[in-house]
Amino acid sequence: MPTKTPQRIAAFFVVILIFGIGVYILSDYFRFNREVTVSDVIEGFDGSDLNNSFYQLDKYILSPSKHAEAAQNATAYLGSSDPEILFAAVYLIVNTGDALYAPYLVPLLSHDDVLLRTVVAGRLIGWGEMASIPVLIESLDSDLMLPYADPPRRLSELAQEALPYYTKQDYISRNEWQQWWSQVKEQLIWNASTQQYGL
Amino acid sequence: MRYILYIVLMVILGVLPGQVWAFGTLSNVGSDHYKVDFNLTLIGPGVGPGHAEVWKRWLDSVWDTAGMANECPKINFEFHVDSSDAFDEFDLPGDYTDDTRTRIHSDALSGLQESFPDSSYVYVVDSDPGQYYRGWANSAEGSFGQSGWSTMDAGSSARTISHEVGHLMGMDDHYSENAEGLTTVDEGWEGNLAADGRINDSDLVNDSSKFIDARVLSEIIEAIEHQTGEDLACGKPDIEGEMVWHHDTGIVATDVDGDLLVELDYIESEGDGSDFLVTGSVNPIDSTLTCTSSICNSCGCTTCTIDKATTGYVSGIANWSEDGNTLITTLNWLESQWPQETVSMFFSCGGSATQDTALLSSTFIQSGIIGTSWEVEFPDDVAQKEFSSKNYAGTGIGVMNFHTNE
Ligand SMILES: [Zn+2]
Repeated sequence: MPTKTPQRIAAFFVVILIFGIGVYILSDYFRFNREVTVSDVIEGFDGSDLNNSFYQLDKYILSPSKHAEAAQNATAYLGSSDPEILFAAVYLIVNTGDALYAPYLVPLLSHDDVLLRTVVAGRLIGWGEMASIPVLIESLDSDLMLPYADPPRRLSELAQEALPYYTKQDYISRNEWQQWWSQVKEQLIWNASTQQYGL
Repeated sequence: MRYILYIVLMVILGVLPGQVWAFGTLSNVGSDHYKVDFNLTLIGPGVGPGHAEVWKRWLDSVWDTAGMANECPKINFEFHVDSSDAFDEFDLPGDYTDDTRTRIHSDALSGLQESFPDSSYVYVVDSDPGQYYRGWANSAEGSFGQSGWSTMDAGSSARTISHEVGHLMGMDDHYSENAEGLTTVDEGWEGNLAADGRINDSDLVNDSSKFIDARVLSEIIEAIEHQTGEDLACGKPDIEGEMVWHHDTGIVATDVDGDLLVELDYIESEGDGSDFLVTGSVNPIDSTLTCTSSICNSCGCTTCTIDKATTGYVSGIANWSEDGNTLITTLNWLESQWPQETVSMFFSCGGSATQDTALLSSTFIQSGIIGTSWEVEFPDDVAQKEFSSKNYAGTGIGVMNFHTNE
């Protein structure tokens, strides 16, 4: 009986090829179409894989239609004792929330981690939370750097941006700001329509 | 394996893998002097009316000052910054890894590329003063030849913008970060834009050359070279003009030191008998290059061995004496790793001429050309003359013109 080996080999490779393509299409589909929830993003935050961790957070930040969902779900993690999870939840609220979320963040103004409480204060000052001001003033002469920033940035940059902007004062040193704060803290009020603090 | 399957799939779908998106140009504007035109489009909800103008001013100032302070080559940087209030909403797919980066970019940026072709993009996050958003840029390899992608917040400083756009052009980070996010500047990189978070913004804009040194520029140059196939090393003959790069490479011309002078692109014809035509400038020696046998001129050293039936390209460049009367061409050759045989052609020295430019041209009919190369020698006392070349393949890709300086 004549052998048909060459045809069989060819057929075998065609089958393998089709199978391979099928596997690829399926794996590609699942890899790129998997729905990632807010919980996945926060719980998956990994300080040793910053590119992907911040990319996952950006899935919500770069999609304003998902902001409400992101901020709302992130609040559930604000009591976490895991510093990475807590950071991811705070970061997500900072970048997707609005002033309605201020009450969730206010307790973190007294968090032990100066980096975290300064990031929180940098957001809360623009949401009218006056308690953020002394936290920002405290960071002004800090030598620490903002966590994970690219390029590296001083922690004090947040205060240097926000304090003059929201108070219309132009002090430079921590001492000057401290003095001003002691004088005005009882009378200062937040004007939500002008986004300013004033007397 | 996954990549092979991806290619197979893309070919089946009729999509070229590794599609190249140009974002701007590199031009040679003088002796060891280049110009980079970098196109950037700002998108997203944080883009305000003045952003494009201010970012351009900062980027021009920071990168051009540093590029022109570089010992060699000098590089002028000019940024062309456009903005759009569309594209607020991004649907980012998958996980971000080195493997998936290209796919993510092509998915996420496809709509943008229709509206703003030939550009890199920055998504600007709407932010308030004091709000911490971590910006990033897609590549430490540089995005010459493809669209780079970055995100930053609306209040980003000149330093952040310059740093991230530096990444888009090929600059690496030179700091390390521990899992808690605390950063340490690499040894020797203190005070450098690539590493140091303590650089004052206004100092950077006033004189960036203090913060961007030759090491940073060499990373960018390397990225440009990698993406364009150009060699920006100093000490080559002057070439002016602009090149258009394409993904596939064909003819490569180098000087005697092996430095790349010319790269000419083509795409192989898939055996359909398409004509491949390469022409040089203008002059009467064309017939010599459509040769089928040895040719000798007054120098007695020009040979050509070519089997017209089986090879398919020709190339060349001409050097002329300063009075314009003597052709001192050294050129050229070609070699085909043709299945049937190796073809080579070699011109080594000149002859005389009556005009300023030389023509080298040939038409051939063959497909599946594999590789060509020029070796060009530029004697010091010879003015370099005009050369231009065109390469037509089945797809019509491959056009290159340049002029050498007199
Ligand atoms: Zn960086």
